[in-house]
Amino acid sequence: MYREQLMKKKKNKIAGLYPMCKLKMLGMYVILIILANIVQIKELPLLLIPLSLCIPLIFVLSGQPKDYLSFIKMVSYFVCFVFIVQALLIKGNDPVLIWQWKFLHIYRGGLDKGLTLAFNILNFAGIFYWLFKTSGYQEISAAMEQSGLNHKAAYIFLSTFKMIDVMRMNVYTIMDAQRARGVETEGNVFVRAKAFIPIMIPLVVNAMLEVGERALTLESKAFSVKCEKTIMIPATHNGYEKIALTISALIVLCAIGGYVLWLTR
Amino acid sequence: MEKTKRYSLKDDFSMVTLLTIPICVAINVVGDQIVQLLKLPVFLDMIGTVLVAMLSGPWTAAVTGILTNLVMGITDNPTLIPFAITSAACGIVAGIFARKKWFSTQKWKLVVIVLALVLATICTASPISIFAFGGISGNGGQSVAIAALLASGTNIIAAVVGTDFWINLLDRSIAIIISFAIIKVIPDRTLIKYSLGANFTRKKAE
Repeated sequence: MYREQLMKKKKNKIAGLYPMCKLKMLGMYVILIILANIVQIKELPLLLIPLSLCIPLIFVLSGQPKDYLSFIKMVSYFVCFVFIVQALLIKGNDPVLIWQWKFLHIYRGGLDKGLTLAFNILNFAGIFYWLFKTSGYQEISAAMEQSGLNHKAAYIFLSTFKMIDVMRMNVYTIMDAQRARGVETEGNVFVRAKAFIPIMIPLVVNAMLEVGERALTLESKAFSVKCEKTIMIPATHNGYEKIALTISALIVLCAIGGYVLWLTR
Repeated sequence: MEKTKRYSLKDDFSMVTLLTIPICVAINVVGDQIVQLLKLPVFLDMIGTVLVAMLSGPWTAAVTGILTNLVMGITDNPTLIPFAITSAACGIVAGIFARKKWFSTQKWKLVVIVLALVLATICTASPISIFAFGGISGNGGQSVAIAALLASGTNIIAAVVGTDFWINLLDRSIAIIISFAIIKVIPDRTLIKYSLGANFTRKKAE
């Protein structure tokens, strides 16, 4: 089933790139973000706004526009909150009033701070989310192992994600079981807080007791033997890495050129 | 025959510990989700880290902390990634205390540990939340409190550090109490597989 999912992703040329290549592209995007922070239009970092619109574009080009929607759903509340608080509350050193409605004032200093924080969060978080949504965890851990990381570290990374799914299912089972016993999970804060311990302890102790068995299983498959390891489904190059890197390097060079022009205008 | 024990990374990262780190990261993430499910006003994303610190020292705890925030950043809220430093710092502090065998039933030692953890949190988390997010952190209740304090004219540093102190004091105390409760339930034969587990067994080695 994992193989089928991987094939579906590999059909798209951008989503199918080698994970390390995507990491390099992420680094170049970070350079763009830094440049956009430095350039000020009307003393405001307005370039961050069009840059943050690049992220949905990248998601659409990778063939996963739905993931962008879920990303926006996750961060929009937080970003709006940050922006509103900064814009309304901060005056700056020499307050220049920009907008006013009854008791609400927006000064230039606050607008600057709010724009910077909100759109930096959108940009940085978005590009990281893109990296982890377009390549599966298994692919990333395989790529990490191929580029020379210790296989134990790669195993920890991969098994963390598996473990979370397992534990999440166990939480609901244990919660139902404790509810059947009469533990109250609804009510005021103290009642709900009391329910936390009877859920947490069985969950953890169960998982800890399984560790011994899992260690045996791994040892029986020669996990700690010092030899070359074979990877069942290795991360593959799809042949477009060089083109992708060249294009993104060109964009970064153009941006740096534009920045130099802006400096010497 | 009393010998001072020397700690090596190889002992800390034993096979069993390698398998425990993912579990403890999962405990942190799931703890955070239970908090959201039960709608409690704390984080509780530190239980697994403290547990690993108590069982096998500071470095494994630091790895657990960093992985926790990375995973929560990927699956839940990308703004949590910078706070990996906080989790790592707390893990290291708790691990150092665990090596000194301060996790005992004496209450004043536990109080000192909680205070040290809170201090580590404030030293690392408050600068991040001030510079990267303008004082607003992921926790809903705290963000509202900070916004209210800012609106009433409080200095931003005072507002963030003040709210961080109270919330983390509560949070870290709960984390330590729950980790202790968990360790009390784990049988001895599992405990002795960890490098520091022998400190918590019911029968002491002679």
